[in-house]
Amino acid sequence: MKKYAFTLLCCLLLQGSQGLLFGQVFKLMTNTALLAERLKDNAHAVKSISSDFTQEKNMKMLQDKVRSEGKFYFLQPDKIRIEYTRPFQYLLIMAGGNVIIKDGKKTTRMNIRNNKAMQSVNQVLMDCMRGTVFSNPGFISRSWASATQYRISLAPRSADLKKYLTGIDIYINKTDLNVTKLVMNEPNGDHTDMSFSHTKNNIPLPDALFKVH
Amino acid sequence: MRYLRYISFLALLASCGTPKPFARAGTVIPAAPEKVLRPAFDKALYRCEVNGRFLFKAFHLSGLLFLRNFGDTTVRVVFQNEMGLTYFDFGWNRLDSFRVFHIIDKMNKPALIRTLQKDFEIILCKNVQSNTVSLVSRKGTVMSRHPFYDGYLYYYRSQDNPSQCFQIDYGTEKKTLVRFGLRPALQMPHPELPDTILIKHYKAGFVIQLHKLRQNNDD
Repeated sequence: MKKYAFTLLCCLLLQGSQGLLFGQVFKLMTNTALLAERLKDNAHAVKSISSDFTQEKNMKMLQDKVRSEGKFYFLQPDKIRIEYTRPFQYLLIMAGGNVIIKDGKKTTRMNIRNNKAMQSVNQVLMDCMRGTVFSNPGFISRSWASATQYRISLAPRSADLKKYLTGIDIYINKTDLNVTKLVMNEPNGDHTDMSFSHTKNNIPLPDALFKVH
Repeated sequence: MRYLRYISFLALLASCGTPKPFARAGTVIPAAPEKVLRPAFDKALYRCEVNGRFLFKAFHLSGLLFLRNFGDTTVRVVFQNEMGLTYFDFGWNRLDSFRVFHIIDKMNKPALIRTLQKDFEIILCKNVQSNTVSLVSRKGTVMSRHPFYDGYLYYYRSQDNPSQCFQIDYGTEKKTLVRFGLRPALQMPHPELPDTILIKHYKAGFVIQLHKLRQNNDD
């Protein structure tokens, strides 16, 4: 009996070291140069992205979740529109280092250079879209691969940012290199998962989509 | 005569400031015990907007406020931005003792924490004393007064429907410091949390608007 228990424990530990998550075995990649090259090449080919997303904030201590959903748009070189539609209306546009927020009838323009957490999330989103995720000097990256996906784990270097985020995990589909999920991990064990679906690349997106009137 | 005009003008100006609670006069009406005001809920999600002014500069903050009641009167209140990052996580144990589980550096100011603690305790009816209650009525409104920290809470109810509380004020005997507008009114005993809560901080100069959201799994 002890022997079986020991074997089971060894299996569990082995799975843990390989990063068994979401029913998939992720193995640590020792060489990421090829992946970095593929992501860059893909980003050159993708001029725009349109996608649906669902966001789930998992609160560890409360054992509960807050869900929301909306639409995500990206236009090269640096425009992102995140539009929450349920259960609340909220619009976030990032373009050229500035953020425009439309919250009901109120529109706020802010420079994200004053907000470290927002600046980092913005930068990671841009890096995901532009294939430059490995060249962000603010994070230490580790990459994992399963049969169908890549997982790039980013750990912040700055002590300031570590107060807000312990890491960001990016899940990328191996076939089309589209980002399927972003996981933002907080120091208290909470994490927010942003899952993307119905992704369409290179469809025409008007500039007006990245402006607030 | 001229001085009298000035005095009248000053008196008029003084009366235009923050709203004052009712004078202590009128018919005494029996009060509902403090416990009937405590809301009964499992969990609630609110859209939260904060608008105000600090040093002549307007500020705006928004996010989601999640309230969770664990059944044994232990309550947690978590405020997060739309993208999920937690601003603060407050909790009260079964003895209504307050604890800060997490708060971001920018909000980690004792005065702000104290203000927010009181706001949530008023909504959740925690640490409201019921031992000394005085009641007055005027113009069809019933008011009960409960000691709360260094001031009082004034619960406003319609005389036609005294089991419904539509407004709570926090302040001194002379001055209202914070006003809570509740829609729909709290139906006592053991009211549900209102769909809309409007919190006006007259002294601090900011307004908190809370609108209840329904999540998919609640539909």
